[in-house]
Amino acid sequence: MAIRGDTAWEKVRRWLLSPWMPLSLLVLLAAAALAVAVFLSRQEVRVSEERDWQAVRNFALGVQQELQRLDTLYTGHVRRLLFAAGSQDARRRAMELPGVVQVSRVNAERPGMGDWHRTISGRATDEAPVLFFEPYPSMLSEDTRQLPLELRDPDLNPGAEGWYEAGDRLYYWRRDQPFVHVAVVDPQVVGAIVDRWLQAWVLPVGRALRLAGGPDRLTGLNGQVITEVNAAGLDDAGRPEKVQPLLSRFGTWHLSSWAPSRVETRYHPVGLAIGIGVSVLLVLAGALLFFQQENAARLARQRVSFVNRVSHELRTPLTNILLNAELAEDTATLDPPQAVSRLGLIRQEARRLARLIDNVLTFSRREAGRAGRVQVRPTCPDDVIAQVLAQFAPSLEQHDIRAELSGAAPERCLLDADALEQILGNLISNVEKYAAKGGELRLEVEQAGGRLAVRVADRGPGVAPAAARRIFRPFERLHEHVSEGVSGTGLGLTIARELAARMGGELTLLPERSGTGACFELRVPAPPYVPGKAARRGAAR
Amino acid sequence: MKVLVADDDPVTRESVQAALEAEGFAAVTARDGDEALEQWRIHRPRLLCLDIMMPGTNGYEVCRRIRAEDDQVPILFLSAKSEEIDVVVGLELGADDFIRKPFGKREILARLRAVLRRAAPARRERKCFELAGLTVYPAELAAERDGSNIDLSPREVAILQLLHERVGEAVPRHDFLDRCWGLDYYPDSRTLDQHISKLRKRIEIDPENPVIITTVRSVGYRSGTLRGPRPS
Repeated sequence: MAIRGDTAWEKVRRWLLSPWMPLSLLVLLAAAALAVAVFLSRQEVRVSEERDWQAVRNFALGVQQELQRLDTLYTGHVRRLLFAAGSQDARRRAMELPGVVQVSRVNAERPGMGDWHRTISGRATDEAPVLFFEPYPSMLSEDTRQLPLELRDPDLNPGAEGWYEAGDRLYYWRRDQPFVHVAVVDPQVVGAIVDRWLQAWVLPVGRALRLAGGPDRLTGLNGQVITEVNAAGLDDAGRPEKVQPLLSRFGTWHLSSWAPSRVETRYHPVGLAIGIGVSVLLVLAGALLFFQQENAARLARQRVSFVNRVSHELRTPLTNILLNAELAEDTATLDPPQAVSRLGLIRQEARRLARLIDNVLTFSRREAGRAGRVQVRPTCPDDVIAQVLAQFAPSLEQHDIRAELSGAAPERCLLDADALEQILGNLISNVEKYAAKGGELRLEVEQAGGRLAVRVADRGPGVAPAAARRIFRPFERLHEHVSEGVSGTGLGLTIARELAARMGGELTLLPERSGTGACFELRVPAPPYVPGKAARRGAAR
Repeated sequence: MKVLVADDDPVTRESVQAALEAEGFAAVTARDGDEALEQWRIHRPRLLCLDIMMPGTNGYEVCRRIRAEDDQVPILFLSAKSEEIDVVVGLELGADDFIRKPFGKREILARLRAVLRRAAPARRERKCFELAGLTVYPAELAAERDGSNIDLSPREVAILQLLHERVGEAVPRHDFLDRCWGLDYYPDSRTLDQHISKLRKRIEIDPENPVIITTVRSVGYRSGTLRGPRPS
């Protein structure tokens, strides 16, 4: 039973040709432009926040104190090593103390004489350099290390000791007349031990730093990380706000601190404004195109619908003419009265066709901008009204509509009788079409003060107030559905109103009193006809 | 044979009714869809002619509702709607034919008979009677002679039926008028003569020398089957 639906391709094709296509494209373009603008104007900014720097300083102080404690501790170990340099187990003790590379005894009074230098112990004895007092380092060979000349000072007290630094080594010395005992220490080895120690040491004390906010990093001698606090986001945190060097005999540790920060997304206002502006323009252009195309499509649909309706309207009276012509033909000899009646119907239907053609022609002229002029001539309105009612009488009778005429306009006046006939014909035809069930047509006529008023009322369903203005537009009908029962071209009221305006009057729909049906009022100027005046005017011409 | 004609245009409605009644159909009319449904339920016509654009319930809807209850009764759309889609919708809804306006009396009658013929039961099950070599199928408003089909109106079938029932008898004119036009109708005798003349032209091999319907002077007509062809 179902009618076969459109194929997918037909649906796509219809969509491509519809006003929705440019609108959709432009909206998509607008969305793309907006997305590009947002993408290009977007920037991520890191915003620093306040933090408790005192807690950072306290932490650095703690680390510094711990480094000093370790320094003191190590110095104590080395002192004890040198103190026992002459003992039997000096070599073993030197081996056990990490960082000690070499322990040597140098004769400070007779350098270079006999057994003036002796390596007591050391991890790399074979490669141990010779320690020598020499003011000119350039004179020394590669395996010779210079000792400070002041260590030879004869006034130096026995037992004097201390650290000195030369190159990448640390030297701890002790004066024991006439000798100087020296321990060579590798600071990197000691530093590595300190690093390991600090890694464990900061675990408990680092909590306070963690509570102080922002990321911190403690790095060792060679820059290796000992610990990091609140390290999330440290990779792209940039340069630290504060770097505190923590000094030790064996090197420098660093505490780097950053203020806590958050990343904020910001948009470049000008770029964003341009993007939004372009998008809005595109959407507006799409909407404009859509409405223009929709309007054009609506007009085209209306015209097609109009042609269909005219064709439909022509077919019914033509059918009636054909049927009745054949019936008249069949009964012409057998039943002449019947044949005459059929001929009457043919005449009636021909008039109906003529009215329709008049309307279509009037509308076509109007569309072409060639609306005809009012053909004013002496007319008796009562005659025109009576003629229209007579034309409609059979049709009204067939529709069971009773026509009532009240008032009169007997005076001859100057007006366009054809236009008046066409207006009244259209109004009465509407009553037939839309208000036949009311069974009543009332015509009230007034002629006074050079004006003519005709009210055409029915007892049909009336016109809803919302549709009161719409019904005068061309092609407009209250019900547009294809299967709607009542036919019509949708031009009758448009033409009637235009003709009324051309006659210098107006056609209006009077406000409906509840349940009384529709009532149209035609008011046109109808100046009295004075024969002599017209004759004089003709003579003057 | 009752036919329902539903059209909101009173002239069309009355004209179609007159055309059908002239051919012996009994036409029932309705001015809108609701009245058409009501008349269909009351009269149960043998065929429906529906306009599409009617106030209230439109023709499509009337057709759909009737088809929901009766899928046999033939339905014809008579419409000024001429688009292909209108015809397709009508036929899809179960109509048997779609006559586009404008149409004449002869076209509507021919299409109506064709629809009735198609709606008739299979030929071997059909009721028929023989009249001098002419096989008449009353339910289909059709006859067959020498293998060719002839469309008949209900009134023509009634005339042939009367002659068949009283084959060989001289049937008086008033019997024809009472039986085929009804007791309330008073046509003059020329009406019967014209009908017989038209009928002869369609069923006789030689209408000038009729065999099936012969004239009995001053009385009426008789079926000539028993007598055979008159000598020329």
